[in-house]
Amino acid sequence: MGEATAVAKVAEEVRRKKKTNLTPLLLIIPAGVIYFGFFAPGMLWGFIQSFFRFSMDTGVVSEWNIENYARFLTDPFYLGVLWRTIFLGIVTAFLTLLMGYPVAYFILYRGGRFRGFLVLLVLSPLLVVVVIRALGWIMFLGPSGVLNDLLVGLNIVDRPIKFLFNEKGVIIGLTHIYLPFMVLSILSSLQRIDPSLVLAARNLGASPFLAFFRVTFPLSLPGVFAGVVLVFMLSAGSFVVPQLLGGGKVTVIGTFIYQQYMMTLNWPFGSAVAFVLLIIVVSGFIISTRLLERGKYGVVFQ
Amino acid sequence: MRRRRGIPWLLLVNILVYIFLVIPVVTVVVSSLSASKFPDFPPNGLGLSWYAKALSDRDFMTSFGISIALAALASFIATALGTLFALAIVRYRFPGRDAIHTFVMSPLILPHILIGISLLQLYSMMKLSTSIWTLLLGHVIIITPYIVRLVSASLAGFDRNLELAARNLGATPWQSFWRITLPIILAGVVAGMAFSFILSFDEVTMTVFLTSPGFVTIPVRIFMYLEIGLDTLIMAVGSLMVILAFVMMIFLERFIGLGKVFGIELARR
Repeated sequence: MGEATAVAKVAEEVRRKKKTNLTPLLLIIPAGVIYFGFFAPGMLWGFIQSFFRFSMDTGVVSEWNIENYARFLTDPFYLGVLWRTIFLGIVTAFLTLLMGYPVAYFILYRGGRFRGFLVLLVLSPLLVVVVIRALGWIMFLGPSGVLNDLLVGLNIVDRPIKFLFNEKGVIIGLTHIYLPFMVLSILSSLQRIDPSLVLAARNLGASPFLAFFRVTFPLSLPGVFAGVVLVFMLSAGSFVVPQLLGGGKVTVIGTFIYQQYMMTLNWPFGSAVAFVLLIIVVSGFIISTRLLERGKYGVVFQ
Repeated sequence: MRRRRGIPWLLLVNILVYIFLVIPVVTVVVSSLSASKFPDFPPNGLGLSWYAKALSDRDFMTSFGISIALAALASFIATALGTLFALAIVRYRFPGRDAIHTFVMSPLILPHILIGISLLQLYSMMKLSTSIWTLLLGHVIIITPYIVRLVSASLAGFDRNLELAARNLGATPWQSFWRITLPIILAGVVAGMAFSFILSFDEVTMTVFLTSPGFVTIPVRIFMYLEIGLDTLIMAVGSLMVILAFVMMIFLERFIGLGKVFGIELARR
């Protein structure tokens, strides 16, 4: 009995000691200073500014109103920008999936001893800065670029196709820079599939085709979803590729914000648009989390 | 598995995708070899003269130096902050832990452009003129979450009995951290540092809002140059960046493993 109380006492003491443990606080402080001292106030101030008014003669005036948001969400031109951003994000996510899935599948199941090398090949473009890859596409897709020389030379088309400074160019560029992320996402999901499941399906008489569509593909869906949403979010927030490959003719939210800040100097409006972008990105994230959860259970209970 | 006859579709698709992946990189390198002022593909006259011009261009070289310094400093600071933060999150339970964790990780999903304009507005309100420090702060904010994620993953698979053993043998908490914990999670820490260096070196979307004319990173300098036009000089600059990336790739693959840096490790089968 006495022993038990003694133990309880010690446990209590340990618990109290833990409660007053300052170690986690000390560990958090360095990052905390940056995130709570600058990042949080920055985001908050940006959000507040989005409710301010701006005019050419007065500059930014702190009169609270929701005009910036209302203007962006009602004007057909601005809605076009919004729609284009979402559209390009969806198309890019779809194309990276279409190209990334066979690559991830091949690396894992047919890569053999080249597996490591193929991963290296997929990842290496990520080490070349995005602006340089965009530059390469400008050279390649231009009116007298390699692709058009080839198409005209082979008599596939009689006049050069305009790939650059329109949505085609932007889609190609976005697909290129985000493809490796899609491959990584699918690859990590495929890797978690127990190989014996596919073998079991084959032993039970499923054709390779059927085994893929009934076993491998459904089990890789978490990675597919995660990749699709990641690429959508990255494309929706992208700025460099639409600006360079769109040549100022493809206005998406990213390039629009840039114009507002650098040319029109209407910071409150630009800020409001940036927070609209935030809502798109975050809702994409939330939807995917939900889908992922349901998807997982769906697969489990099939 | 038995091989099926017919057209190897999967292989064919893969070859096309790999070609797609290397197209822009190859294009930059090949067109940089042109001798004329404006690049053509394939080049009419070959020459390396634009490389000499690129390497002696003071703007590009300064920007290159700035980028390396900024990325090195930012990834170093972020690694220190992120490792400590990950230790607090993985090892301890305290009030507000989840909220703080979510908040610090939020730059992972926030558009960089939003972070860029927010900081720009904050600096302008605080009357801070842009300098290496304001830019550094932005980069640290963006890359620290990646470090936290990688280090947390290393810590999750960590056997704490090793630390307890060290403590039992008389090590101070400080000693047990430096002699036991750090060496074990070091692989994760170094991979995180390499990844955050790459990320910081490549960042344009946020950086473009936080640069000042005298302080421009190399990708932003190239970006601004491309907004005006295109010539062989910029191709040579680009080609030099590709060569640098190639050297970096070999280095990373040799010492860390590129897959590890990007968070993928293929299990041996």
